[in-house]
Amino acid sequence: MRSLGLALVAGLVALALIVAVDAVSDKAGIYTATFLIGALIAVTFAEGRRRALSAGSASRLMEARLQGIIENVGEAVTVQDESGQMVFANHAAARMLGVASPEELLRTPLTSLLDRYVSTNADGSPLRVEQIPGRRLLAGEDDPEPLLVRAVDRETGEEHWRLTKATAIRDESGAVRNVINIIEDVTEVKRAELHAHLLSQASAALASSLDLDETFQRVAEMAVPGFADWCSVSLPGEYPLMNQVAVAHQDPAMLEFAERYRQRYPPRMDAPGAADVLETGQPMLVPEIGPELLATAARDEEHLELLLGLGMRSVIVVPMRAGGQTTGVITFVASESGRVFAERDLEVAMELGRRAGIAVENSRLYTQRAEVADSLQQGLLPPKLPDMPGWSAEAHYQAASEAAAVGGDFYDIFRIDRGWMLVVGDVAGRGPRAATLTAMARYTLRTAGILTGDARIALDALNNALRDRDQMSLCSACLVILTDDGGRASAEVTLAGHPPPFVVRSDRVEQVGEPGPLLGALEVDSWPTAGTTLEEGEQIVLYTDGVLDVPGGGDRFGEGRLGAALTASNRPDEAIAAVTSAVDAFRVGLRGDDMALLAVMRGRTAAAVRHDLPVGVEAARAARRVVREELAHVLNPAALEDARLLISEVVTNAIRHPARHGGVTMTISTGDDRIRFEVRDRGNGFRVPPAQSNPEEPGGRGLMLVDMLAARWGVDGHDGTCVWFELDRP
Amino acid sequence: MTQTGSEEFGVDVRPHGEGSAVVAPSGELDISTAPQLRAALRDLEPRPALLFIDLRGLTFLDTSGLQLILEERQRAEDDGRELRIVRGAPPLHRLFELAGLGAHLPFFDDIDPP
Repeated sequence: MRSLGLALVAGLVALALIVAVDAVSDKAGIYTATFLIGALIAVTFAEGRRRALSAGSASRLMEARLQGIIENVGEAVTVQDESGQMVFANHAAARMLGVASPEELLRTPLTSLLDRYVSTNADGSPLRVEQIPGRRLLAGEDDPEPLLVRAVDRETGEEHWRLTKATAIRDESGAVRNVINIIEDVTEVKRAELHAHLLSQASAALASSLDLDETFQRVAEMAVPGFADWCSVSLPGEYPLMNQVAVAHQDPAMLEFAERYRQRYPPRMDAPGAADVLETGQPMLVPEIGPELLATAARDEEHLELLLGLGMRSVIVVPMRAGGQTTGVITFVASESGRVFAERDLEVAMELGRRAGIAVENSRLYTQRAEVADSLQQGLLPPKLPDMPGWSAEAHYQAASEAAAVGGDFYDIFRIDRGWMLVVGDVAGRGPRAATLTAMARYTLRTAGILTGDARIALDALNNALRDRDQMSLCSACLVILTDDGGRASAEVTLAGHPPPFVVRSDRVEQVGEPGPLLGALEVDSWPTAGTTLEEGEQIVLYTDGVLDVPGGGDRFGEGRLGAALTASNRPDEAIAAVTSAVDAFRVGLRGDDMALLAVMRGRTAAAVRHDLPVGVEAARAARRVVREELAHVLNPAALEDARLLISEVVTNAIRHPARHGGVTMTISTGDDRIRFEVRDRGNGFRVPPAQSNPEEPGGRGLMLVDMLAARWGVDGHDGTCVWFELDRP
Repeated sequence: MTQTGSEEFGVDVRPHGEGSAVVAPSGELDISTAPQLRAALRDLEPRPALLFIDLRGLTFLDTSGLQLILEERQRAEDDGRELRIVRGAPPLHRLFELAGLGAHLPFFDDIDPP
């Protein structure tokens, strides 16, 4: 019996040695170690107790050896008895818990051991004693999960991550006699993991959005509480103020406190810390914020008190840098966690700052370019089509998919002595140079056209202007003069390197025009003109190459498909909707080129009245008021209520998804048989929720109502810049 | 905050006997005025065991308001309180019917005396 026991012990010692020498690092290892050390201790203690009376020298020697092994393994090991009292600890445990020797550790009460550290769970919540696995075993749990704890030394501010695993030694009846705790220091692993996670999360957030303020807030929130207790992002504001664009802390009450503090003492560029970082672009690490430092930073007594009240212990300020410029700073503060930032934390913070800096720069460039592009493009197109008695007109311009590029397409309609001149043109190239050319082309044709009423003179003027430029500058154009001679309407088409427009008649679609030379290419002054008549209800449709060149299925959209799309259209708005939806259906891939379409019909379809709605939430109410004023005499009360409800829903959708420039336009067209409502974004377009969107969502429900109550409805264009619906007139 | 919206829109909040209250919005309830009603409902302390939302004073209601009423109903359900909605004029009530909610929300014709 005795010899069997000794053999078992010896085997276990051998195994334990292997494990201990291996300096257990992986998870499986620690479990094996727990088992073996647990077994050893169990045997040792059981044997020890039994043999305390018999005092055999061989077993004493064995016990001493075992003790020696356990005392010196790399893992921290402690043993508790059934009352929770610590009865054994090894050297590693003493070192880990910050006392000089195992003996001292056994003498120190648990509470004072715990008091040395600010201990929190991985999620940042304060650690409760009853969460400790040993306690849970003693409280009757079978196999508690290992516990990961962040312990920050109150004195040094050093941060430790510890993984504690507890195993029970039970007697024959199954009652817990001893609890063995093995505590592993996983600080390195955990920090590396946290840092990598923070950086990858932040990078993803920074790359995924162009709305910087929102992104900064997300990044700040990622940093707490794992990396810091506070995180804020500040950009230079109006001198000397800093503009704090994001702040995060785990506790909402603290955030409120910080907000009051910020209002009372707005952050300044000339305050120490942030100012230096902004100016020099060098990061700052203050491991221990002493009272003297706070006194220097404080603007007055009250400020000092507030600063003290925040309990800041350690701070890191890093620049957000890109292209040699410092665009802002990120501040990390450790306060109630009690930790002190170290050099390695600074490295992570700097990396975060660098990535944020690049995101700021990207966003700034994008915004700038998009704004320039928008304002240029707006100058290149007429803000609205003129009211043309005896004619109905509709235009469509679709920008290329790249937001920040200005296209070279333009269109225009203006009055001349004989009637109206329609213009559609296309300047070669993209970007700012094309934009200046486009502006010149549009205004030269317009000015010469209005003054002379002659298409050829207008083209000649533009040709000369283009020829005068140093660089070869090319432009194609289609000019159409509409005249109305005692009820007989006709169209004269003059082409300059431009595809001929379509005339849509009741029984056929045909192209009209003779090819003429491209503008800017040659010293010529003659462009052939072709004429045709337009009966009531017939349309002429002008377009740019962008429509024909849309790629799809190994082919381009082309004139054949354009003509086919126009065949069934009875009105200008239908013509444009038919073309854009045919193009969208045909297209493979992204929009490449921009495109312009202009459709004019002989006769009046509908009196379209356009209303610019106020910016913001008042738009819905304003829209309803206009609908009532305009349609009270046209619709019966029930239909009027439907119209008001639908316009309210559609406008609300539009302003719920505000475009950068805001503002919504409503157009009401009163036709003989129907009333058409269009809600259009004045800026970059707004999105409607996809058709299958959840009807419980307000936007989805709004569109569901539109679908139920409107005779027809749709979203015009690829990017959802216009939502329209129609009600049939009773 | 906004001039045109708040001039006509109002929310009347009054106690209605023991543990009961009436919240009666009037005017046009939409995206611009919904925050006022939402705030009035939120500020109602203590939460009455029986709450009436009286829609009879409304002249317009769209899904912004509908959403708010659904939220309040959910809140009442979560807290185990009773919510009664006093039906508005027929054109106004039509929205609930269209949304398929006419039979699913606790509609009443009037407020019972306390």
